Amino acid sequence: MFAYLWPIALVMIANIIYQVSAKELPVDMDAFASLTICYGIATVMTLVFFFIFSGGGLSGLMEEYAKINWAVIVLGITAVGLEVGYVFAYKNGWEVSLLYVIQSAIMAVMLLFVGYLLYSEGITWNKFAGIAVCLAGLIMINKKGGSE
Amino acid sequence: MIKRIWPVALVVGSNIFYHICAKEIPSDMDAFASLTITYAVAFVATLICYFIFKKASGSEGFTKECRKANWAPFALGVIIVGLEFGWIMAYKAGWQVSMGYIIVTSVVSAVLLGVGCFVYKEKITLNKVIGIALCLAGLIIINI
Repeated sequence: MFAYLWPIALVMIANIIYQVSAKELPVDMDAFASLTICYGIATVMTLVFFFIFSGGGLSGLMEEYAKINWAVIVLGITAVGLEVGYVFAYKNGWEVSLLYVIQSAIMAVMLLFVGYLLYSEGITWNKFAGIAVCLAGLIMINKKGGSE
Repeated sequence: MIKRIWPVALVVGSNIFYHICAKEIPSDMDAFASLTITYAVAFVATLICYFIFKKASGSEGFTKECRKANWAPFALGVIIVGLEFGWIMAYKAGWQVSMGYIIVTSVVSAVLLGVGCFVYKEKITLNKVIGIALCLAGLIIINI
């Protein structure tokens, strides 16, 4: 049971700290400069994790690098887009309580179309209903007023 | 208005390509080895972006900018790895993509509502609470 639960708990805690950290980046610091620090740390950490968990040493690492394809590299570019988007969203006044849920709802809807167009996944009635409910939620969030 | 919309559009667009790329990573390649390349690419890409946009952003020079760093950029680097590692281990432990995503989104949204309210003094209106509940209900219905 523990083996099943801890990874998802880690994802939840990491997600929460991620949003708070993205909001707490110094306002007067250049966003790209702060992200170079962030990715420098991430590169070193994954390298350390590789040597600890995967073993094989430097030659093992080179063997793994030989298996590289385009996705590994493009993933790095998309990660930058993601983080830059979050950093600027918070710089431009987005609220912590809204940004995550709004992007999650839009993402779920967009991924349905990606699944349909790229992977021939079916769009069923419940998916249409889910899209409608998500859109209603987004409209409600952006509606002015409502008691506190 | 555009100032508020473009970062979210960038997050959503990047997130979609992120999922497509994550699905296409060679399955026989070690996850940490592939992530070292991914983050190294991200490091170089942000460095290039820094030099392209440094005039527009009014940068005082790379070293001076780095001296302004507080705990957040360092924490963000560690947390990004924690996130990736958590997802990899969750899938290895047998979590389904849709179920894992719903549970994470629901719990994280609820906690962030509290963080926004108590830490950042954000207003929690009835419209906001109903809207968040509807978004989460929509996510559940999509993934039934």
